[in-house]
Parts: sequence; C-alpha cells; structure tokens
Amino acid sequence: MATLMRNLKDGLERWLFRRGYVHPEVRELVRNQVVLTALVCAACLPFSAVSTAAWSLAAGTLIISLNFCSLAKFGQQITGYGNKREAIAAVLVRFYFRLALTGFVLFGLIVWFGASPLPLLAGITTVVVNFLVWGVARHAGSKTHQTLTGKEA
Amino acid sequence: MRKAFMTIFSTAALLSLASAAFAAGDAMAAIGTISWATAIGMGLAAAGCGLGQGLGLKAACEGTARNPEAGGKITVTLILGLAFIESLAIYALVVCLILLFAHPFAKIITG
Repeated sequence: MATLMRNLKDGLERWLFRRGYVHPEVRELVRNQVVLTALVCAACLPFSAVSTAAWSLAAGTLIISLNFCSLAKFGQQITGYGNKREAIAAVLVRFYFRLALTGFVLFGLIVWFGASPLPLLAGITTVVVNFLVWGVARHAGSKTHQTLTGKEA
Repeated sequence: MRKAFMTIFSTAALLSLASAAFAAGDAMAAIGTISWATAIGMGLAAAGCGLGQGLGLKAACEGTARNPEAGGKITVTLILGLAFIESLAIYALVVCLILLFAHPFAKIITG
C-alpha cells in the first residue's frame, strides 16, 4: 500500500514537472491541491444526483484548483521579469482575466444550474486549507525554531 | 487630489443611495440598494486585491534583485500571498453573486 502511494506520488510529481511546475515547493503545493481536489470530487460526485450541495462543493474545489494551478505556473517565472512594471502589469492582467472567467463560471453555476452558494464557498476554501496545512506541516518539520528575538534556539 | 477624489466619491455615493435608503420598505428600492452594494463591494474588492498583488509583487521583485539566492523562497511566499489575495477576491465575488441572484433577504423584503 505504501509502495503504491509512493508510486502514485512520484508519478504525479513527474507529470507536474513535465507540465512546467519546476520549482519543488510549488510543485508540492500543486500536488497537494490536485490530490485534495481528486478526493473531494471522488467523495462528492457519487451523491451529485441527490444533493445539490455535493456537486456544488466539487465544483468550488475544481474552480479554485484550476485557478491556483494557473497562478502557480505563472508565478514561478514572475520574479524572472527584468522590468518591475512589466511584471506587475502581467500579474494584474492575468489576475483580472482569471477573476472575470471565474465570475462567469460562478454566475453560470449559481444562476443557470442552481448551485448551492455555501458549499461552493466551502469548496473555494480548500485552497486556503491546503496552504495552512502545508505551512503547519513545514513549520513542524523544520529542525530549527526561532525564538521571539529572532535567534535560532 | 486624493481629498478631492474622496469628496466627489462620497457625495456621489450619498446622492445615489439616499433615495433607496429613504424608500427602504419598497422591494424595488431594496433591489436597487442591493445592486449598488454589490457593484461597489465588488469594485472595492477587485481594486484592493489588485493593489495588494501589485505591492506584494513589487516587494518580491526588489527582494530577488537584492538577494538572487533567496529567489526560490521568495517565489513560494509570493505565490502563497497571491493565491490568498486571489481567493479573497473570489470570496467577494461569490458573496456579491449570492446577494444578487440567490436572494437571501427575499422573504424579509417582501414580508
């Protein structure tokens, strides 16, 4: 079982690397988000025929995961921009484009398909949960801890 | 410039919202108020998030330029920050969509 999990993890990491996620920590975050999305979708989609909340939760998770994957892929090359203004313009254009696209999809889900708003919000929150868990795990796993004065204990 | 902008903005907001506020009992006025609230709320959220992303990116660019070896760590922190800000904008968007299309206050307004 552990070997299967490790193989799956390695396969996913290789696939993400080929897709352009070259930074190891960014790849780890994206991998966690992909796994979380797959778990939520697997748990919710069987109930989607009977419950609006189930597919709304899956839809929210899927939307925010696509958003984050797009942001993470572009984010790896932002600091490589020579000109600061160019970088800011590129980030802002992409941010507003993604926001407009997300707005259109959310509008369609809520108005045309009658999605339940609260599970949709819960699905969107998965990305925040992913970051917090990653941050806590990283903090707990670090061998050196800093004191309040900033010195390493 | 900022003072003049604030004065013009607050005057316009007061003038446009006063009629709806005085006629709060009316359902149409309530819809108008909700529409105004969502438009202003989403505008403020998008502008604030855009400003936040721009400032964060500016600081990241400066940090990387000063210390290129820390680029990897700065990139991860930057992506986390940008994603947090973006999720805030999406939260605001969903709340606005809820107010506009899910009608959570419909029963209260229509009595």
